[in-house]
Amino acid sequence: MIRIACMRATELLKHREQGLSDAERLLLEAHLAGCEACRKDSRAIDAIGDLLEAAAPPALGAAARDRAIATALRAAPLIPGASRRPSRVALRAGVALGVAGLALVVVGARVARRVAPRPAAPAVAGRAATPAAADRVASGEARAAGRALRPGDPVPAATALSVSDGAALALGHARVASDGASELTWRPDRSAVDLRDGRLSVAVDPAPGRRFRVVTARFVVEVVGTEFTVDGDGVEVSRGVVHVLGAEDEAVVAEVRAGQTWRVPGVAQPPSRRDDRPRRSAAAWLARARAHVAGGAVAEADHDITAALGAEPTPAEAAEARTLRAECALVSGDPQRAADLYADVSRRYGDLPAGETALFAAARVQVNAGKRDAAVELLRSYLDRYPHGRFRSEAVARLRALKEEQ
Amino acid sequence: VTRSRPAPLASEPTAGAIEACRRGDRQALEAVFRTHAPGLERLIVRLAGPRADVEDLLQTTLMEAVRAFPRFQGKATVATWLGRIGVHVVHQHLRSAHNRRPRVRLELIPGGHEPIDAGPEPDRLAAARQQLERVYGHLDAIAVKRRVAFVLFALEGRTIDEVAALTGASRVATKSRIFWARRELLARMGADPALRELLAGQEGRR
Repeated sequence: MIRIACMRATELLKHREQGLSDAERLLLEAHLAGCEACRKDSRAIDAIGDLLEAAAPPALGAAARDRAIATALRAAPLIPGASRRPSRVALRAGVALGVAGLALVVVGARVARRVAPRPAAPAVAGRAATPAAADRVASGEARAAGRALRPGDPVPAATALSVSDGAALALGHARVASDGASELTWRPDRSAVDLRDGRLSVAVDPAPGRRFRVVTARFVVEVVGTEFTVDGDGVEVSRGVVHVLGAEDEAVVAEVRAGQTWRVPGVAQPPSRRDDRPRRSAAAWLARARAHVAGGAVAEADHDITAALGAEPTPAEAAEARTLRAECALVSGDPQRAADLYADVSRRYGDLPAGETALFAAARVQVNAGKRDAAVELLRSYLDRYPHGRFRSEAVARLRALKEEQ
Repeated sequence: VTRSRPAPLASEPTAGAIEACRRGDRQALEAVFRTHAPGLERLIVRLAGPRADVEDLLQTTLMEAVRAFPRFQGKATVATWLGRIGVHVVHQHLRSAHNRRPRVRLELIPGGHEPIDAGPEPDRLAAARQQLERVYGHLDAIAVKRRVAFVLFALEGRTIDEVAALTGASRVATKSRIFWARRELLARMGADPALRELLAGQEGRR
């Protein structure tokens, strides 16, 4: 069978660099001599592999890896023990049946019983008067017991709050933003928000390793470190994993991952978000921006870059955001602006690898644009600043070529 | 470009360490994760492509591993077992993306009209990234099982047996998936003007 022979040849080709026996080499050469298709396929696959090596996205870095490991380890206590945990079959059935299956049994019955909103638990004496230092209004306005709360004001515990559209609260190790007006109560003793009405966007810092909950009338959302949006009808996860628990027995109803939405049975999908306020981390905005740049969607990329810069980026993330802005200018066919933006990155982040790359990129853009003097100046600046830099040999060669042209 | 191969298998934890992981010992789990996280990250990037949230997928993989360790029987190495979980997580992610998310429209991805040379210049890197986006755009159109098997075999450098072990498929099914994915991908790339030159350029270099 020609297919099997070609497949075998492909296998041998793949291991050619790692050494083949004489018999295998003869077999391969004999096949390739008569099979142009295999030769061509092999070259094509090599081309993709080379491209992947050359243009693969940068590695996560130690901090991101540490974060992923820490979050995974801290999530361990969330995993129910063998006796409480639903069987794999039950979980699979739940997934397969979606909201009509397990969720219907666990939550749906409760929906009928609990039509009225879950009443707020009585305030804990003393807690309301002594909020933790971290619990405060971050932006926008809220009201507690008829009193207006402004940015910086402490958020009282176990007290009914009315939060205005767009307002954000720092509660424990989470940041909670109201999408529309919301009614909620913060319970620091349980690290939980009781959501009575409205819609919240929640970003939970994984660093403390403590769980955080949003309790609605019909279900509970429990997380360690993640980002999600929740209202009385369901939850939409943008980062990490959340567990949806039954409101009464707290059994795991569903596990919802990034990009997935879980809704209470019978509830329609939510309308699309009314706006696009930043709710993501700088890294998430950058990932979107990269995709937009690669897709040529400059306006969208620019929007995401602005959002990334407003989302408390690390210096490396800020450098990448500004470098992407320069790439946007290149994609838009504006090399002068691109060169200016690259130069700006090199000025701001000269001590970071991105700063070095940006300075050489600015020079190269000027070379390609025929701006000889500007290019020479930038190349000299590069060699002065990074005498042992990664692009040193190319910078020297280009400088020499520009002098010869003169 | 010197093609890197999958990282050699990291050292296998001792039986005592594995037992500690089964019990949920955080120090033991952390040691295993630190050893294998770089390899898992590479695997995830290769499988999911440059647009994926790698940190998120890595985190999910490790969380699944924490959950599944009590059932780890030691029939495969820890590296293979973790790789299998990583493949499963990416598989689920791709299936979800396949069904739910709009794909990047290939006609909107610029570039590819200028052949890539081996230079490290940043703007050429940007062009290469755009071509890589196009390649993954074509991969997005291929059935997820075929895509995963193909990427593991052709781009990640795994053997047929390793791919079969990682995906839980038979050798025959694995070969078939790779064959059809490769055929479909090359047909798509051949019909894509932005990538035709990449393939032609590679041909010229041989």
